[in-house]
Amino acid sequence: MRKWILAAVIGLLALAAAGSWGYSQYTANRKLENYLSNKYQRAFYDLASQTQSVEVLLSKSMIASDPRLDSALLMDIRQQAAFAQSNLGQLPLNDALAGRTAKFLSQVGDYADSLARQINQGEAIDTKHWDTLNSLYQQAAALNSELQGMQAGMAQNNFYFGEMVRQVRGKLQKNPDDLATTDFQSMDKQMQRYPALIYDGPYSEHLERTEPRDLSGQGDVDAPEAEQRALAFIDKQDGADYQARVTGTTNGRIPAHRVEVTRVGGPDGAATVLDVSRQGGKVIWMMNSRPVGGQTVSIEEARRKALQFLAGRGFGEMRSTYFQQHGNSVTFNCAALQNGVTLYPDLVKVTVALDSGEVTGTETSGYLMSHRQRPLPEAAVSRERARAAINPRLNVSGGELVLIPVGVSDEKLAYEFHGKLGEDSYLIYINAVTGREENVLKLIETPGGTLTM
Amino acid sequence: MLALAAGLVSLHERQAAAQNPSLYRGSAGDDVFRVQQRLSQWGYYNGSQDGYYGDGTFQAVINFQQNNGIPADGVVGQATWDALGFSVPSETPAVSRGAATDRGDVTLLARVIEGEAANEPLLGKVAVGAVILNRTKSASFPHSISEVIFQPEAFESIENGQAYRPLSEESVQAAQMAMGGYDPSGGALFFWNPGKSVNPWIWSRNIVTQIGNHVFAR
Repeated sequence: MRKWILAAVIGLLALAAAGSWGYSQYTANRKLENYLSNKYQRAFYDLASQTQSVEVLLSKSMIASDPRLDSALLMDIRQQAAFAQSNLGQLPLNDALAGRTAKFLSQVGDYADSLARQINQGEAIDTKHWDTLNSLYQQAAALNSELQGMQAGMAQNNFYFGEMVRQVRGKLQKNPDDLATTDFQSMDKQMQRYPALIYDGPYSEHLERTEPRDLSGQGDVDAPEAEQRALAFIDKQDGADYQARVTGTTNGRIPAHRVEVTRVGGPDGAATVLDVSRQGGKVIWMMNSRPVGGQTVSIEEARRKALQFLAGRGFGEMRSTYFQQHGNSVTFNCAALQNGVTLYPDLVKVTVALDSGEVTGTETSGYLMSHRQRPLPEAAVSRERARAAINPRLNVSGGELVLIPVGVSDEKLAYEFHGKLGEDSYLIYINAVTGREENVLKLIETPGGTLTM
Repeated sequence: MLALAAGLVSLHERQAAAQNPSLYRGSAGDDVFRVQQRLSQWGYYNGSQDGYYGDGTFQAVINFQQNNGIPADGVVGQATWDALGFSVPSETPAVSRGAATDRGDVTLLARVIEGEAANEPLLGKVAVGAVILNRTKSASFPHSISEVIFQPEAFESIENGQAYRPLSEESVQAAQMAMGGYDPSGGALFFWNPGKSVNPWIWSRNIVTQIGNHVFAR
């Protein structure tokens, strides 16, 4: 009898404990769900109001006639578009649902930025620009009206983002067809109706399709030839035999054969992998993933090895401009030289293992994309005059001629000066043709190397 | 803007740090303004921040000095500058925001690599890191590493916490290599494991290559 009562009491207590635990879990869950839903709503409302700002600003930029006002409006567009994209990125929408919308927001901001820069350099908004602004304005208006419609739906339905929140909780439907996702999908389809936008900015459409200049006009190589090229490229140890094998093709920005090179009798899994371009048969990158032992080679020695390696593989005259150490490996950035001018766009990265000095990696896509014999302009401004254009507060040294990338497809001949202000170091680029200050980079010392920002 | 990484020759010598000047009644200029601003932020001064060291500023400095155990002479000397938080950096270089940011990015990148590709070869790890960096350069994705990584639904390992496991050395190395420009993915924006169930639309993408267990596509 007693035992039965005791068991019942314990059972009841356990039930009560489980119940209260369950209830607290339930409320905690509800709280989190609300929290997440609120976060999504905030991001959405911000996205809608920023898109509206973009629309209004675009229409203003089309009628403003003072360049200063225009440039201020364009900078505002850029900022609002960036905010809008950031808020879009906080919503749980994958690329299939919002990719085109995100792209539009990137391009509006990017285009506004590139146009503002042109205006600041004294160019007027011509018909072509006006038409582009007009087209962007139409797109922004369409996007805005979609978002307003969704906002109305949201006001009527508090659980608009409910399904998205539940998705996150793991009760995932394969193809959720709740309100928000359906609406976003149709909005994204709307955005796809507009034509591709081409302009001078990093997110412009045409950059996806740029051709590697170093390979232009060259014929294709087949798999056996790619194997030969790979064998000729790798850093061979004395007296060892190597075997190369094409393992597949890659269909990236530069289509290529993928080649694996192994040392005969070497340890398993220590292959060097290379991508050899189909056109021209050049190595795009090489990676040897062997573990690297303790350091026995100095950075200076490694630098000599890297430059020697490049010289032996037809890269011509190169200069090491920067390095970064990671673990017991060091990666050098090497830029091509033409008549003593450093060509920063034509960059090759070379990784050297500090245990043996072996070159374990290269990355040449920058070089392949932009290298060619260029007609370099004459420096019309003397080094002294260029130097005088620098802020007098800086303690200045250097002044070598370099070619720097400006914007996305432009290159400028410039003097490179080192400047020091107190503890801080900078690189200052003065255009050698116009005498204008093109760029200022800040140098930041880290244990692994010097960063530029 | 790590793109234009340039060399530098002799940036090691550190210049003697500039001293903050002493300020007293009658001083004027930006330094006085800074002091007024700080004193009013801290509730010692409620006059106008005009950059002129007048009676109000003098009294505020005296009060501040008394509260901070500095001889209350009404002169902003080194001790007062220090107490106001304007001390000149000492021998150890101040933590640079830029460098700190960069190190953070490497770690963040390494986390996703660890979460998504812990069992993949180094090549596959670098490729996953490269996909994240390619996304920051694509118009269709956010433009910073953290925004790409923390985009909802973007990476399973971030959503389910797998990415917060201890980092392996190889993942950190892969992150560094990806940051250094290595891209075995050939410019890919997506990767997935074909052995797992995935959203069917992903197969409509332009497939670049396969490395280990991952398919990479643009």
